[in-house]
Amino acid sequence: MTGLLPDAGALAERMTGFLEAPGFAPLALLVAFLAGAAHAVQPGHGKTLAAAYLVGAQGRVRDAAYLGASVAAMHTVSALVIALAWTFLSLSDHLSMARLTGGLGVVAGVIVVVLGLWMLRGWCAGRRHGHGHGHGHEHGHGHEHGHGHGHGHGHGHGHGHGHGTVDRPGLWLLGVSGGLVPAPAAFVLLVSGIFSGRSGFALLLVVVFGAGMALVLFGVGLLALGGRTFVLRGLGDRAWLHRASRVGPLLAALGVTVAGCVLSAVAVGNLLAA
Amino acid sequence: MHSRRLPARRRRLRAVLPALLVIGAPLAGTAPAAAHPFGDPQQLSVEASAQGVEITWRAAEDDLTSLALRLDVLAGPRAYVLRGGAMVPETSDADDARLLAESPRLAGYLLSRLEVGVGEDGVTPCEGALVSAEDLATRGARLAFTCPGTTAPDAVTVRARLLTDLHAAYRTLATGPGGATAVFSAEADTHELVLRGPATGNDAAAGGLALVGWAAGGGGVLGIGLLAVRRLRGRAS
Repeated sequence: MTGLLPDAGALAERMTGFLEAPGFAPLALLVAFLAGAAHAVQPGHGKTLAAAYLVGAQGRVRDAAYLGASVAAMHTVSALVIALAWTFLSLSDHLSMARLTGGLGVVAGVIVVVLGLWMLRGWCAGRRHGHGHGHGHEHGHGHEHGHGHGHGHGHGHGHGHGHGTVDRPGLWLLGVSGGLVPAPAAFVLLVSGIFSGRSGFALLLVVVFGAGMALVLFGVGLLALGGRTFVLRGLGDRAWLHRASRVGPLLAALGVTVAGCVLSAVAVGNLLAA
Repeated sequence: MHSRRLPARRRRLRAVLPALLVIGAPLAGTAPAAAHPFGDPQQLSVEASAQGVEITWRAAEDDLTSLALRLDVLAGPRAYVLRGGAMVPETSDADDARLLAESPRLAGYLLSRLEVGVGEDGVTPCEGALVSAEDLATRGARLAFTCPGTTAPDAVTVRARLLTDLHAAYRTLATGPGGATAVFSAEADTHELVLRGPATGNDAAAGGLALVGWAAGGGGVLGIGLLAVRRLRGRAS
């Protein structure tokens, strides 16, 4: 244990060890799941930004699940592509892994900037429409209503304004950003699987690892949504809350944009140092 | 009364909480890249030579720095930081690798942790020597092993324990003639590699193809499942 956090390194090491043991050990799946969960608990993966987005966009439980699944899916795909490129395209001859992950970090930061700018655009559009709350539409299901007033659109396009309903593309962007840089353990597991002739088992462990990550991110989303309700009940009709609510969406959008800029700048710094 | 006030507060809170969460994000440490120190695994390339085998060992720059510190090649203490659950040197550069390459301790270390043998279970050892460590960071260290006998061996048994004395989690990915592969670890540090004739054991191409196949199959099943769920929901609504 490192403080209150589970020892992700030890779990990941144990998980990779199962690859070398003969046969199939069901315990490996449990260890992989715990290793993924422990990895997701560590700083990173945009948990705070995701929580902010879910709260700000009136997220539901299914949106939190979608976010967790998006991060896990992106993480698995990213680890798979890098492992294959490293093994068969001699990736490390052309690009050091530090530079590769540094570059992916920059992309992840830029994605957050794009999301922030998208939120800003939605806020501005909301002001132009003269109301501060949102409305949204989902593909193939007619439409959803932010606050109970109707709209005439019934066709398949989506847009979100201000702090309207959750936009799946926004969640998807967060998922891509959070899962773009894979865990070292997942990469090592896959290349070890290729080299040891157990790539199927390695992939299964990485998928289960991703499921562990997804559960934690889902839990963070649930905590954010539950926290919103909890704080709501605890606070009265405070004047400061009323004032802050007017600029809250703007601050959130600006905050996501600035956070994305900071993440990008840090990633660029890491990339240059690599 | 309470129930009538709730929606108004909820709307305001929905507006305020995201900003609070975003402002608090730096305190929680949200940088996606911060959780992922990443590096190349160690690699061994095994090739047949006239009298035995040639083996090239390559390791990531920070691993070379860790080894140089371990062998007391670098002067002065170096700060260590926790990255990805492992303590690693805070800084590492090409100079560390150059100093390590110039040290006679490198040859001693490599030859004590990398052994080659022939015969039944590799019981007859081959004599090794460090041939070159120039440009250690990019090209690696080249070692030549001369095996007893007048003819070149068809297969060798390799025992590799490189860097596992620094941390048991280190693994070495080996590639042999004909695409044969092996993974050396603290638990499995000995493998036989065929140098001539049809390769046996693991094969990188087969492993990669299997990985792609499993991924495509799994992705396909997942896609079909999601499509079926969507259709069922569509019918239900």
